[in-house]
Amino acid sequence: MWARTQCIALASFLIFSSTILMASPRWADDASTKAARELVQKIAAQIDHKKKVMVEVADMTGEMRAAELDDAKKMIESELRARGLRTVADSSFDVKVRITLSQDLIERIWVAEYEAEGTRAVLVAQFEHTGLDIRPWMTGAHLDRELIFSDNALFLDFVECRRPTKETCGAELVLFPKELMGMKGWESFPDVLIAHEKPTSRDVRGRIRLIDGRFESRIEDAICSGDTNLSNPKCVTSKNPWSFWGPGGESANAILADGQNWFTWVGGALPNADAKREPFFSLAGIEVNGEPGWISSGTDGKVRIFNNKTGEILGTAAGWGSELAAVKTECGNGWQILATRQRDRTETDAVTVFEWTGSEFRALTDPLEMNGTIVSMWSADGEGPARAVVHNLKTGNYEAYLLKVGCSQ
Amino acid sequence: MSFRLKLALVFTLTIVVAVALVAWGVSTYTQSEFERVDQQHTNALTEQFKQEYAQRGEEVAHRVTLIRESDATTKMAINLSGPQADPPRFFSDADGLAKSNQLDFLDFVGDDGSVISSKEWQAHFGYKTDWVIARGHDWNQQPAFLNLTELPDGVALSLTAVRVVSVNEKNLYIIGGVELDKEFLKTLVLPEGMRALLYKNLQAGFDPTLLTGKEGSVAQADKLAPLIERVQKQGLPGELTVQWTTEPASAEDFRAIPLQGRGNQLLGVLLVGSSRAELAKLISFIRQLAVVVGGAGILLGVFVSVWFSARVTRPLARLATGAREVAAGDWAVRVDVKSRDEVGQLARDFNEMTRQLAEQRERLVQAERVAAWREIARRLAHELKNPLFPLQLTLENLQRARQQTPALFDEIFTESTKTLRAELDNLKTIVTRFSDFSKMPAPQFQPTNLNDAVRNAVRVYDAQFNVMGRPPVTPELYLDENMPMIQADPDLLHRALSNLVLNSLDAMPSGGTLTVRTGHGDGVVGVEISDTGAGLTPEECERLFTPYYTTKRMGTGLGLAIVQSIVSDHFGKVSVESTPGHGATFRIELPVRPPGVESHLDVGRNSDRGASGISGNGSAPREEAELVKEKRRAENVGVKSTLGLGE
Amino acid sequence: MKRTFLRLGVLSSVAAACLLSGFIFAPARASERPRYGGVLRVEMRERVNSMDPRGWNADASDGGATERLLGLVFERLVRMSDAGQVQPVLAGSWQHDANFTRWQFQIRAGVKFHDGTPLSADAVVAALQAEDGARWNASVAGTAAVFEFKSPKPNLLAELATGKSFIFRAAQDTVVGTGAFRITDWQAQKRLELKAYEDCWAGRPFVDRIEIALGVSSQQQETDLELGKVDVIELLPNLTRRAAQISGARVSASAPSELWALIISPRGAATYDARFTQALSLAIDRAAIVNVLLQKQGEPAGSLLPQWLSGYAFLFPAEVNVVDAKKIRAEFTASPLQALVYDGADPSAALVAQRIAVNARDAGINLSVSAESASNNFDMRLVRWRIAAADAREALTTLISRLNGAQGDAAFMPLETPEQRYTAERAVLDRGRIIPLAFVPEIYAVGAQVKDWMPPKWGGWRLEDLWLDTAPRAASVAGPGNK
Repeated sequence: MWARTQCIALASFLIFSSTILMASPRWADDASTKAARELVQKIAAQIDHKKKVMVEVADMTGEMRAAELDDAKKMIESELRARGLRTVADSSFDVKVRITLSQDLIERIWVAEYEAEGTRAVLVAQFEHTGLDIRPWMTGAHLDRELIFSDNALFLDFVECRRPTKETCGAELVLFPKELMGMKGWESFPDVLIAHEKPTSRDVRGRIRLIDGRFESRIEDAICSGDTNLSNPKCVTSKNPWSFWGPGGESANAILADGQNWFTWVGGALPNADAKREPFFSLAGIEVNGEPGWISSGTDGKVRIFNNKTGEILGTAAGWGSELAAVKTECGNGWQILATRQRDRTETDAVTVFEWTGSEFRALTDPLEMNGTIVSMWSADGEGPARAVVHNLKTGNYEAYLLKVGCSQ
Repeated sequence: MSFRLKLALVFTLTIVVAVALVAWGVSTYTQSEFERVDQQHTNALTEQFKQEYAQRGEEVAHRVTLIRESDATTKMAINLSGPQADPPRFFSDADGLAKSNQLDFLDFVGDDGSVISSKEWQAHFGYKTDWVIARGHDWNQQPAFLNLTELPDGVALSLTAVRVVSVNEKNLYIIGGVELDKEFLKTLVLPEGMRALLYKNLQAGFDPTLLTGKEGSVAQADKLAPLIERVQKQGLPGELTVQWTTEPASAEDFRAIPLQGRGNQLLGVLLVGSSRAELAKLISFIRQLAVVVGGAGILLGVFVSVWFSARVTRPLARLATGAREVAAGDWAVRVDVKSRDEVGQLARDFNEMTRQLAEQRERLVQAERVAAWREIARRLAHELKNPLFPLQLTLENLQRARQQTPALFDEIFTESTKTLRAELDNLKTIVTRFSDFSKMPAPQFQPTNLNDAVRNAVRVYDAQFNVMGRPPVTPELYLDENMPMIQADPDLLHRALSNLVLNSLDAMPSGGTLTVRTGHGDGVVGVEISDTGAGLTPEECERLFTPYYTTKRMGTGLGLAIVQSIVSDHFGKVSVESTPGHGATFRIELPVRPPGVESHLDVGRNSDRGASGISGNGSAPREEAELVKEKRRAENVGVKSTLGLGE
Repeated sequence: MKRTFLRLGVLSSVAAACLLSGFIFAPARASERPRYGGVLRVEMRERVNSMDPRGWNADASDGGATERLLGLVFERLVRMSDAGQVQPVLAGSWQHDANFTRWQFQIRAGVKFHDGTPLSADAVVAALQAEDGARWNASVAGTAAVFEFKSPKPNLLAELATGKSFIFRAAQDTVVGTGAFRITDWQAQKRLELKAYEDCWAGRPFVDRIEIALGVSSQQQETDLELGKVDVIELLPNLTRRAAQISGARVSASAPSELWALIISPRGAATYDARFTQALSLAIDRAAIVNVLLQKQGEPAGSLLPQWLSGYAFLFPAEVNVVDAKKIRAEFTASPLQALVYDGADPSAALVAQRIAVNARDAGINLSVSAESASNNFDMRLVRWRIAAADAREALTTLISRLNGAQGDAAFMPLETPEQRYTAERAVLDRGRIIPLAFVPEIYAVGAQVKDWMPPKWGGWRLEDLWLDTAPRAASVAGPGNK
């Protein structure tokens, strides 16, 4: 519902309107058109209307296809004619205007250059470009991703309410390191500012969950909660451990290392279990061989899957990324593991779906290439897709995706 | 210069010349030998260079072949032959490959001749190297050749090989080379004193900056310009000797070998230099050796010649000594020479001569003696005749007087006896004088002061200088106060001087001045007694000292003979000078030490040994003394004759 | 900022800045979480003389290197994001009046200097005025620093994000900053050792220490990287390919942010003629220089600003044209430009200079090329000017000032719009005092254990955000890494 709204409002640049944006040529982006018109106006104002003008259009960005270039040329020529200039396509021209689509660090620009009466003139019209890197849905892939939200500032987690869940939610929530933002359609709520007692870690960890129609967000030692409309949010500072929930509601507690980015186990069941001695980056509840269990990515680079009750480590893997999530599906043995790759943030990431066969991890899908690095990935509480925040390496934006494992069997 | 010295010099000279000749011969021979060896060295070096050059060529070709076969080159060739050719990717490959294959130069050139990668001139990529793609070359079969390789800052002479890799009918040329520079020269093994220089022939004429040696640039390179220019002109090997400094040792022989590249163009010249320092050293060594040997030879020569000449000249020396002794009056001297050669003959003749001289002298002495006795007899007769005649007359008077009256007789008698007495006295005087003369003793030598003798002699006649009724004679004495003591017999000396003073007084009857001077010279003393009388004619002077010659009416003519005799006995000389009307001067010269009487002086110096000195004069026995006296007399005769004395 | 744009109606600029200030600066993390600890070893070619921001001369040959080091210890009020947007750093937020003559910067709370002194508006004013008192008519309003100017300063943020606008506190005999690292050992021209600043307002950096060796030759750096003695090295463009072959090493290049150009020296300027310079410019094969000598690291330059920054650089042709060059050269009897010098310490500069000489010869211009020294006179100098700002106007102002001196045209030329900047560049280039050659990126090679190496797009470092993967890796059983 929310996405559809954005799609209709194409001209409003709402980032959620991805599919439509993708469908329309970039040059024809409204801003681009506006800029082109602005440029044409400048040209018309400077060139004697009696002159015959020949227009050439070039693309420095390398993003316009030939057809688009042709469309752009036609559009510009018609705009010039509309302003009283005579355009010609052959060599009978008096003035040749070369118009190039270029871009600088911030914006795209239309650049027109021509020579008239021996003087060379250069005219420029700038326009902001969305910079969104929109990929088509990966058809036929078992793992699908859905872009939910994009921002050029870092956020750590989000909640979306479009998909009917057992939880009711009033608004989409986006958790930024120092604020909680909520919006519902066109309506946006006052942001909840989150205060921290001391500087957050450079690799700040944060999570937001819906519990009984209320949200609970946690960023390091700052916990905020309230209704999803953010009507009366409450924020406190707490040293309490973080809680993780297993498939059957089992809980595991861990403390985020002070000023750092990894967790250490506290209390909980099976204090003697080896698995619980190893600090971890992420932890997800998963059903293992029909019993509740956990899968963790340790700070030693090992992934461990173990039984909740006995704490017995059933299997390990290495060379995985540090982000893990578990999803309950109709596929395979019903529980899949979403794992990132061992890459750093200079490289685009990919998510692979694994399954624990009881003796080993088996990849169910090819790695799904993301267009950036995964900042965080959380399992849904209970059923439902996993959430991932991706830093788009091309645009620099941060994007919220839902990762859904689809079955073709 | 003595004969012996001459002889020695001749011998020495002969030896020196001989040694010099040998030294010259040796050095000349050595020089020619050295030059021959040097020539051989240069040839060897030239050959060595050629071999080195050929070997380097093979090495270069081998290394370039290795590069051609390397994976890197294959990859490059494959890449460049494909549609996705990416030449920039190989831009720096040449550098690494050249280093790993020890090449100074390495270029990869693409099929179109453009440089893909260059080790020596990296910035030159993309530019064409047309000569390498020229048709008609099977580079892979071509040996290395001399080449001029372009560098950013000039051109280098290099030994270059080209190899080709072909992929999909596209060639990749590999041009590799090593620079012919000082490093290359360093690798040439040269004998001591030889060096190699390399000239890059980049332009007509000579450019000193293009000449390089093992240490880099070459000082005074211009001196080699003529050789280089000759080679440039003729393209043939040439030679030149360069004198770097004024030192002969600095001379160096250069041989130039033209180095040609493809198309026989002259790209460089190799100069093989051979220092002449060794030769100079050798020659100077030989000279020093010659000097040492020569010196030794000369010493030996001197010694030998001295010994030899001594041997040769000893008999002659004896002869010379004998001759001198003969000259000194020793007629009895004989030379003892055994040899039978000419010198022996000469010695025998000398002995014969002296023998005959002695005999003749003896004869002469005898004759003189006879003559003297005759003269004495004549004089005696003459002297005696003078009084005898009056005696005879007186006696005859007396006899006649007997007829006279007694008174007259008495008167005559008294007169006659007076005359007789007078004549008898006269006879007695004559006899006394003769006996005195005959009694002239041999001088008793003792230290004597001539001045004192003069004073005494003059004092004797003090009374007669102013005699009443006679014009006075003024004595003037000029005595040498530094007069040395002499060995003489003071009494005889007194007598002689008194005679002369008296003689002078007699010569000045009408008064005048008597001047007496003494003086001394080198080993002699002299006294002059001059008068201002009538003087003497030369004839008178000649006969003056002859015994019994007198110019005086009452003189016996013995006075000056006695003077003569005394002076002679003192080994002295007496002479007279006179000009008629201007008086006469008698001069006596006496040796301070008469020969053979040195000991007398010593004795004389010691008065208390005077007598014994005389008796101890064993070296001159009486007879010998007499003989010496005789000799003196004979000498004096001779002297007289030389003086032309005698009446 | 899209979200800001979206909410234009509801957010004031200040509020927007406030919103951003908290987190927009926070770096994203990869799917592999950073690990803390370790010592990062860096080697640099330049011999940096001083770590005192007051003595820093951006125009000096070591200006860029010094700024990189200063950036680890000192911070500015704002900075440019890779997208060229101003981001708050020590200024939490800011606002200005309508005509940009009065600016107010809210100083971020909770920031402490390395000596523990809290950052205050007074400290900010003191630091900026110490840099250039006349430039800043500054005052303090509570926790905000206020700057007032006679003429509008629309570009103030870009100015504050670059150049000598570091915020520091001068203690008795030392200068301290607020950056992620503090100095523990400084040996001018030799060595710099830094320690993680635990109380850094943006969070403690991941590495414990950084050891930076200065004055290390390019070859030595490469060898050290290969031997694992160093984690980060600078790369010369022509060495990039070789470095990329070092196992585990990654090569990272910034946007082409360094202008390589020939500058006519005062001596040359006395005799030079713009036409002659034009002939030389036409003779230079920039494409060959970039493709071969710089191994395609960079792009040919016909303009002062690179395309990515100006958007109009393509209007300045950089193609070689020997025919025209010869024609123009023929107009001159003697060559007024003869001696070209380059930085002897930089092998790639030597190659480029030699290549220029080779090209010039094609046009009949004989250049003697030599390494620059105090003694030699020269007509032209090959310079490498870093484009420090991610803002076209600021970058162009800096370049023109550097070329003509501070009192040059830049001060008077309007440079607000692209047209104005184009006109200014055209005027400067037509004067013929500078011949742009290429825009070259800053290139680094980082060792395998260095993670999250993401320097700013236009060059520089962000060592505070990288981490070292020193943990032993267990053999993979099965996982994405193996797919």
